[in-house]
Amino acid sequence: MNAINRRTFLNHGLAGIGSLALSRLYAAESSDSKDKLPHYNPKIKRVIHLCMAGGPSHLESFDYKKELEKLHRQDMPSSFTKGQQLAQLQGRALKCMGPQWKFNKHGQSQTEISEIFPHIAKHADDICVIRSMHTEQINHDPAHTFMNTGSIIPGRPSMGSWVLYGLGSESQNLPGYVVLTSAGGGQGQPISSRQWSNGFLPGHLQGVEFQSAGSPVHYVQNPAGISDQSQKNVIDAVNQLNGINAKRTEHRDIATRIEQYELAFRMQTAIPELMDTKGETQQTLDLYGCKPGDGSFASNCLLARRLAERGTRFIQLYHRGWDHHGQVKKGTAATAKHVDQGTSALITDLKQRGMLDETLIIWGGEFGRTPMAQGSGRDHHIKAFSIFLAGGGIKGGITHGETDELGYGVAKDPVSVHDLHATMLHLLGMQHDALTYKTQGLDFKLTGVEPARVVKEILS
Amino acid sequence: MKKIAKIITFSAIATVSILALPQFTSAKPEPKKNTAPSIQEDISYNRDIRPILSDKCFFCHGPDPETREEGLRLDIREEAIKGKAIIPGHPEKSPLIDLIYTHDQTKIMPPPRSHKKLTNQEKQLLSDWIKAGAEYEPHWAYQAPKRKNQDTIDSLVAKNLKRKGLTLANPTNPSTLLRRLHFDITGLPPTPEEVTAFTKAHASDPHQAVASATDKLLASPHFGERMAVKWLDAVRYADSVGYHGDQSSEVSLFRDYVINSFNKDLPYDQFIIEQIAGDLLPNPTTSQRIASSYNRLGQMSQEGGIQDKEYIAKYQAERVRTTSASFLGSTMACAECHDHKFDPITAKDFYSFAAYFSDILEKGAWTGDGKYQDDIKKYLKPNILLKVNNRERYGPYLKVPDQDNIAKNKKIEAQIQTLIKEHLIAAPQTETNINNWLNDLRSSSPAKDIPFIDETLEKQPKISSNKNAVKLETITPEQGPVHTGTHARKQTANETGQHFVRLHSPISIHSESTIYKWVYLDPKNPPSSIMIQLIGGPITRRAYWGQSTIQYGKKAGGIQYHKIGDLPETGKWIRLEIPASTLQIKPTEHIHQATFTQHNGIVFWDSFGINTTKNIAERSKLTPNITKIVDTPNAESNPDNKNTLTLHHLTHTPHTTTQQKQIQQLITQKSHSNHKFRTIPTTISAKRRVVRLLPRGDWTNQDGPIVQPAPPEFLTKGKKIGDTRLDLAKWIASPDNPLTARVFVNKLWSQFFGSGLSNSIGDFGLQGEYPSNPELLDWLAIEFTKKNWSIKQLIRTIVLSKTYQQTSTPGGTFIKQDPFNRLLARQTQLRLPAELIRDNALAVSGLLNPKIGGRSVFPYQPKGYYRHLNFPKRTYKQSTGENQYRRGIYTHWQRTFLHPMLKNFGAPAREECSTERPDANTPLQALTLLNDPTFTEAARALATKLLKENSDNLVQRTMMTCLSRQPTTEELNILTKLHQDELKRFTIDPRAAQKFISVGASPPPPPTEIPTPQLAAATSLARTILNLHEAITRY
Repeated sequence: MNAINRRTFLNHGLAGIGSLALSRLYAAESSDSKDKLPHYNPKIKRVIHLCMAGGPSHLESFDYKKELEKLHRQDMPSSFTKGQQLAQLQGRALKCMGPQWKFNKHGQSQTEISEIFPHIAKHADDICVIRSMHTEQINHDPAHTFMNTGSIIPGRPSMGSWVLYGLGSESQNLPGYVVLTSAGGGQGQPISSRQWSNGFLPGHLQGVEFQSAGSPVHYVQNPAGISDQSQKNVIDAVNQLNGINAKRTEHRDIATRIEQYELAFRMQTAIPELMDTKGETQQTLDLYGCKPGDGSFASNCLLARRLAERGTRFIQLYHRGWDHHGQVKKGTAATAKHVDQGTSALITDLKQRGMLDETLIIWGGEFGRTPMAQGSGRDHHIKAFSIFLAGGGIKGGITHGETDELGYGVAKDPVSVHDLHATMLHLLGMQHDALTYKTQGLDFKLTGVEPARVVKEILS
Repeated sequence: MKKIAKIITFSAIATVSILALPQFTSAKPEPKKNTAPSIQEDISYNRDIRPILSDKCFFCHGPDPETREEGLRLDIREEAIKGKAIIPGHPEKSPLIDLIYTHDQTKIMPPPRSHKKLTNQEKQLLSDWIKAGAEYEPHWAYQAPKRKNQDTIDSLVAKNLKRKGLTLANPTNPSTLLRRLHFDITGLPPTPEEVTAFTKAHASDPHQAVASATDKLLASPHFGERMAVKWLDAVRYADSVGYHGDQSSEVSLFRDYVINSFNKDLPYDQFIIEQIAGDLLPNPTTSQRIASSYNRLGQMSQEGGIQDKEYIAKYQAERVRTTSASFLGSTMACAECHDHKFDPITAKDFYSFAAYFSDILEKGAWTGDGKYQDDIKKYLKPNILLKVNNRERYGPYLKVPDQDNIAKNKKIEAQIQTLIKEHLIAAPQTETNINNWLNDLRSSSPAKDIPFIDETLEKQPKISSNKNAVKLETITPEQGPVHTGTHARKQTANETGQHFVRLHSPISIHSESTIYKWVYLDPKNPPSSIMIQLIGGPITRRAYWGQSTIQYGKKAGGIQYHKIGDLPETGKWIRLEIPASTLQIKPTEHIHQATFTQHNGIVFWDSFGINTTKNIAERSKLTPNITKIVDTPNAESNPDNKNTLTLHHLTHTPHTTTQQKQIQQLITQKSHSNHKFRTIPTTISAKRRVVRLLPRGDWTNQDGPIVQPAPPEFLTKGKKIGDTRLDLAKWIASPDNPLTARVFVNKLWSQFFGSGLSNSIGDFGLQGEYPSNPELLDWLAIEFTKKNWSIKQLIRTIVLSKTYQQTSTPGGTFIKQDPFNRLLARQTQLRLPAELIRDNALAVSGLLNPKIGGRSVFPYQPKGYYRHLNFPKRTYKQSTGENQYRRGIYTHWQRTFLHPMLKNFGAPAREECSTERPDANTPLQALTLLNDPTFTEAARALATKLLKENSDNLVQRTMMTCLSRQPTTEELNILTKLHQDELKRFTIDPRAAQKFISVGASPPPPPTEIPTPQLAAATSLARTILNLHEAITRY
């Protein structure tokens, strides 16, 4: 029993043999990872990634730029933009656009947060804002792919799959990597299922997307006319017959298949139980401010907490609505309204339940937006953007990194996407350059070939 | 090996430290784990040493100068010796050995930060190898394959096994063997009858039985479908473009090409050439052109704001990755940003390879911002289109007749002709009727007005105007002058203004007719010009009165801008007349729109029509073809014309015979299959783009040198290869290329044994796996090229071998000892690929539609699965009728949201070339087999099929149909109990039974034929068996 199996066993010791079977199923293939996992004591058990799809403007959210305000409607100094890659603004006259919302200082830390986030602002002392993120891809689809997989080449595993590959899941009945989506407040950018793909890692490590309509997971409902009992009879017969076959053919896959049928049956019960929020108090529902099952971001936040309680390792909530090429003022406020209370409620709720310390929350998009105006909006921007982190192992109430006076480039302490990945893996007890998987003759890593660093400065 | 240089500098100290190491203090090295006495003689650099050096050392001491440390290379013998890391014959003096054995964590190699460690055995091997002289060998995959002709697959496998003290396992039993052959060659299971026949034949002559079964399967058109599964993965075939909006892209012609090529056993070298450069072959056939769409199957983007150059860089890099991985088994991907860390592939090689594809006419950004590198219009021909369905998306497209529909229409046409003959016998008066009808059409009655715009008409035309330039009001007599009926149209124009009238059906205007229009020009504010425009047929005609102030058609002149006369008198109703002959209107051109234009002023427009002696209503129903016949005296004496007239008559008059009724039905079917063409993004060779080496893969950096097309230098070894795509294709497809044949036979081997002989199917580079049986791999490669690259012959050779026919369940500890069956001391148990799992269920149930080729289809899919797709939004429309039951390979392949059934069973999204499918075993697979309606419906169809025969031995017969074998007593008991329990349950709850058997689009049989509870219980039974591991495994 390696480190993971032992821990999973301890956590689910009471569940007995089932958990053993399961840990085998979800554990990392240790032959590929060079060292035993986790590499060292993990600070957190799980990650909740609140993915703000479309690219939220850092200039209207977490990075106030006074100088930009002064240059409002004036030419963007060409020293910033000369020869640089722009998206839709390429080749156009570039004018500055000042911050569209007021920023206030919050908490003891006096963190500057825009007024569009009244709820998140209450957690100023819990969160660590990184103002010096930068990325490599300027269009949504490749930028998401890069944020999720650390590569722009499609077909690489997403970070959730890597985490699951390294640590396995703690849930016996639910997938270890779950994706939920919502939209509102702006143009709904398409999101590909590539974003939660297992890539070349084994298929059980893929993210499972829960649907907001119909049955939450594909094929989780019995065929029409089949009761749970009848379904169980069929599964029992299948497993008995597979057991006989296993003896005859000695194939290791059959034992796994038997476990899969058991797990499938448990999922068919566990998923409705997960989705059924009747047991939540009115107080909790008010905290999130949602009607459970309405498919909103806040509802998804509540589900994220329920998934976290049930042992899901990696939870990703996409909110599609941050692509504000026009009307950035109205747009950011509108989209913020969709995500502000839910985000805040999730932090509060996890904290109240003592789970925040064992969770890493990542809030942020695939890139930021230009200090230059695109009509009434802002274009995609990859040189600098803001995200925030909260939870176990993270110093709350700090800001890390700085942009230049116009919020165009990183001026201090740059953090790359690979650095973010390295930091996340570190908190999970994994050394990013030792979490590798060999395929097609190459050792692949989430953090790629170039050096990446753990952002130690933000760790508590 | 960072410290070597220092150690060498302080050689005195170094020597001391080496001597201090225990393993070299005595003459005897550290005791070996493996106590084989003379290991040195057996050491093969390729097999034993290179994998260690490549994996553990080359990253810092290999081909890439950027990451090379201390200037030391270990991948070249001279360099390793010159760098004083290795002293051949003297491990005890070689610093390399010192540094791998040292306990000093600051000096040890590989360094701890690399997270790489050498095992004791590996250290020993390196030491022994240096002792034996540290001989290098060129990389095995880059050397020409060699073989001895007397060898066979079996002799080479046996030789390998003998070394391990093993022998081949027993042959498997005939029914398992037949299933294996079926799944491997056609992907469809044998019927129970085929199993019985084969078992019998096998008993009398096993070799002959297998040979003839194999030949039959290889001749089946389903062979191509089975082979296409993996090939389409490799060439990243999909029905959508992948990036961002992931719009659909019709490419199914390519899939048909692949299937047909396998079926006709197109030699593999040709297959390669046609895909990479079919368009450049002399006088390429349509099939070769379709093949070359290989170059256009990669992902494309229409995302707003993307840069042309950026995406050109993405597309070119993708082509290099796919072409090098699928044909050459080389991972060139790394060299996009830097020289390869392990293989001798440089960044220059990468971009030189990319330059081969720079002639392909395309855009980077498939938005308004993107540009073709050459004038696209130069290349447009009748069969090369820019737009499909009036949309320019990912052109240019090749247009190809839709053979499916053409064949279908031909069949219908033949049926119709038979029916016409029968009808004419059944209704002999038809001929007289046709003659009367023809006479009526030809005769002239006194001329009369036939209005088309008049409110007294039952059907009113649709009127619209260009609102910016005119004000159009419908007025009553109280509001102004009205000529006919109750209303007129008052048009006030500021400069040129017009209104359009779309006629409710197109009209045929005989050349002897006159077109009329009533107008009233406002005397206070008259226009400077008025115009009537008639649209229909290939060109527009315009007639005008007054000055030439209206610009429309002016440039063209002639009948496009014909002056009839001066402006008519103002302040009164005037009937304008245009003789049809003046505007050269032909009766075969059906006019569907009239436009009334004026320049300035106010004009009241009223009734519009034709003055004619002809039966215009009847004539307007005629097709141009028929009109021509009617207007040509005595044309009906030609039998073809007569037939055409007869068919027209029969389809336009109420039916009097059953034949005529059938003809009318068939005609509508014919018109439904009006997709006469299929299209595919096509490869056109145009002006070459300039290709530069992009430093670190950064497309914004245009400082890199311009490169010319060339294959990787280390493979050509200085030999000059031409600079066209065709040159590249021919170089790849040459028997002298050491990689091509090896890569393919290895891939093929993995289809028949589960693993390749080298299990890194897409990487034959230095990091690739040394083959478990290199002699066999070479033997197969030579066999393949010698037999004219015939895939079918090679498969025949493989499946007729004893190695292939071994049992996969040998007993003992084989499976535990060698789980991936690298030794081949048995066959392998393989889970069927996703597509085949579907095919198998449909096949055993009888639902399968065995049609080969055609457009992609849409099997049942969970609702809402495409909700994240945007630009445009999409809803999934599942296929109806027979198309619901096509093989999995025809499933619409949406890259960003692959059908969940395929995805759950490991089919790749095909965004990139994939040479292997990850083997997974997940709860989602269980849920799919249990709950996907496809499998429930298949179970019910199977139950129906069996119960229609009889209800005896149902368990045994279901088992036999699904698994080609009888159940054991134990299995029989379990399934019988399940069946009886289900029967009880469904008898008590008939509503549940009814619901259960109603799953799927095909109707269940009526309860009078099979009682519902019986059918439901039998369905449960079949469903259980279809869920078994055995049902999705080939043994």
